[in-house]
Amino acid sequence: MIQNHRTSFINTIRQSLGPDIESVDIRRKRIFPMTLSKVSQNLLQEVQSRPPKDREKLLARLMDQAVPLNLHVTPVEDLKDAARQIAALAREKKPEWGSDKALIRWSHPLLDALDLESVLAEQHIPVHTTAMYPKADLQQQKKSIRKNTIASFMGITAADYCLADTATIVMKTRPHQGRAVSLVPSIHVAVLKQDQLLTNLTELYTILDFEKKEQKQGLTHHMVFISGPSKTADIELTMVHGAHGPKEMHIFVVRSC
Amino acid sequence: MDNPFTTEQYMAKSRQAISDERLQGALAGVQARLGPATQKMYSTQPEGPGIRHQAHDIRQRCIENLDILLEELADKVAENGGKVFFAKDAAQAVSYCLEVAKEHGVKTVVKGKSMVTEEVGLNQALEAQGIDVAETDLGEYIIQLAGEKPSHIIAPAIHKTREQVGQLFAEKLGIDYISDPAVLTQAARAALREKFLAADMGITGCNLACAETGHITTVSNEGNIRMSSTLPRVHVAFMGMERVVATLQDHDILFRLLSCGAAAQKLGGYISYVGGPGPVDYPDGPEAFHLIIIDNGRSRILADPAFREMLCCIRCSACLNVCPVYGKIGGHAYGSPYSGPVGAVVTPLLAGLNRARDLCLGETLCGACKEACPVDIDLPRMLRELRFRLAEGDETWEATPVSRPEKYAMDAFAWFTCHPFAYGSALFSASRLQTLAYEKGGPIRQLPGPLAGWTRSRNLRKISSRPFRTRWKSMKRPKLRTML
Repeated sequence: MIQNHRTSFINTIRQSLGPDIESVDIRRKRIFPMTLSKVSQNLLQEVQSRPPKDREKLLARLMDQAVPLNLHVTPVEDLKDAARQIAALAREKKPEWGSDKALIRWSHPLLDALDLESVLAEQHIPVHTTAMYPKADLQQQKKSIRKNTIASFMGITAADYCLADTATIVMKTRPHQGRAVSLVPSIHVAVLKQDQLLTNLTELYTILDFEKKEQKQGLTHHMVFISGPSKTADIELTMVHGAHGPKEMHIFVVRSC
Repeated sequence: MDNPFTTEQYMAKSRQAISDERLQGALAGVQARLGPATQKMYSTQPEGPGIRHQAHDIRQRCIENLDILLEELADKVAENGGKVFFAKDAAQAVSYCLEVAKEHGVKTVVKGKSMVTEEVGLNQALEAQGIDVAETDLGEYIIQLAGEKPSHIIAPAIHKTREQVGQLFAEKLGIDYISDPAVLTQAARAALREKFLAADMGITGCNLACAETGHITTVSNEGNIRMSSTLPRVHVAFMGMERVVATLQDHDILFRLLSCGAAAQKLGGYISYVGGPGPVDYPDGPEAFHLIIIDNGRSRILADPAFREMLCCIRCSACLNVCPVYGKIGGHAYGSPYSGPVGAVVTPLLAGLNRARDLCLGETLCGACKEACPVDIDLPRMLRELRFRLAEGDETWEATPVSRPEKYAMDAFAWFTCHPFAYGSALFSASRLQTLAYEKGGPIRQLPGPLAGWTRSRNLRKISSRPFRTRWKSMKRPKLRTML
């Protein structure tokens, strides 16, 4: 293996920063502040005690912001309603690659409760999941999850948060929740609860950084923000949806569950 | 290794570009579309227009603590199971990547758009090992098929018309000729899907890393970078060493501004945080993650207080979309992956001042780039500084004066302006002598001998027989007190 040059690399940077630079300890404390600023504290409190009518406003804002992104946001009353809507999409949409219809979804409490397996049984559409069983051969399971993801025309995920200002869903990566589900199928459907709505990036980063549970968990090894379907304007700046990722994206916001 | 810079051809390629009507139309289009839209978005940020200065402060603070941030980032990535390699130069970065490819038996690579991999000449090196490399950003894919170089940081194939892309795809992908961007995009989608699903290794750049959490981030609208970093067995990310910030909070302003600057968007379509490989009991994600942090001349920029500010750049390309020079000569003239005003400063600093001198001499110093920059970098100041180093010569940058006679002429001019009597006499003699050179009544259109360069692109106005200095003396002028 090639020798790593970390020490000399960092030393070169230190030299380049000049002789007047303060000690590492002093600078470290300054650049990574350990205490929560007053502004962040207030913001955190505001988010945690947000009244229902403000959440309703966030939903309205999300729906506005989603329009120019070609992102479909649909509020639904309960999980049953969400499952019905997903089944309707599955019936109406045609698969982009091949002719068979199949779905893939995360293994996640909210999605398990949708019971898509039964709802879609009458259409004879198989519903795969990305659940992993620790006792079985992991590589074999990964292989078949990959195959199923590629064969599915719709991918169903939950999300950690949804930002109204930019119509962005935020997803950390957890066990049993494949990253490719929101990427490889032609249609991505995200299901989330209304109390997962936040206003903007500022609120999100404050929560990720300072909320107790989030702090403990960290960002996980992979986190993604998605704002609408895949798009490109690389040919004469003409906007086209569906460059490499999903061509279509739907968010179902469940009001009560 | 192939040299990625062809800066010596600046003049010739500029001329070529100016006479290319199609290109002129495309450049005018991209500037009219993105320039004003970006400007408008800055003013609608909740922080107000001062947000750019806030962003500058964040970046400046990070650059001044680069040693600490990089060590923190590297430690955190290692904790998450990723490997971090520090590369002093392009050769080290490339050979490490080749080694990783060999170790994993890599035969095919998919790439997300990355300027720094262009800078180190990665594709050629991989191809020389018999590895199939596919650029997957639609614009990059188009120019890879055409065997060309990117001409814009964000829209690399902006110089190609839809008809040209149609012909290219008909020839290379075996589809029927069509010029509809939607159909062409679908054709590329189908071709590249095969590549994504088959690739052994994904290579991406890095937009902004976060030291506190130990993640790199990538931004795209197409989803190609997510594909490249999710589906293949191995993910290798290349990162210019300056691309790190301290905290997640720093990402808030910077991602909003990056999205405004790059594409007049509120937020890029996909932002991924990658901190390590996919764990073995997770359904997907690469088995191995390697992060290559590259110096390649950046520490020299860091060491020079006059140019340190350049490391604040987040490579969004907002300055390209407002620059009157880029708007005429396009990206190829700059002979570097970095074009436009950012290229005019950063390319000489990376490739050598003398080699790339025309780039900084060619800009107008109009200041539009500074106004458009999301992190408020004073590019015009650095352009002037580069010109100064080129005029005077500079040891640390191994710069030799561009023109000794010019330098002597300027030194002489400086002396004359400091000595009023000598200046007056010289001006007087010149006003008498000039009658030999100018056409009756008109300006001087051509100076003789070595002075001809001055009049190649401008006329020399004749010296008045009664200069301002003389007139000033006899002028009726208000008392200083009344003026105040």
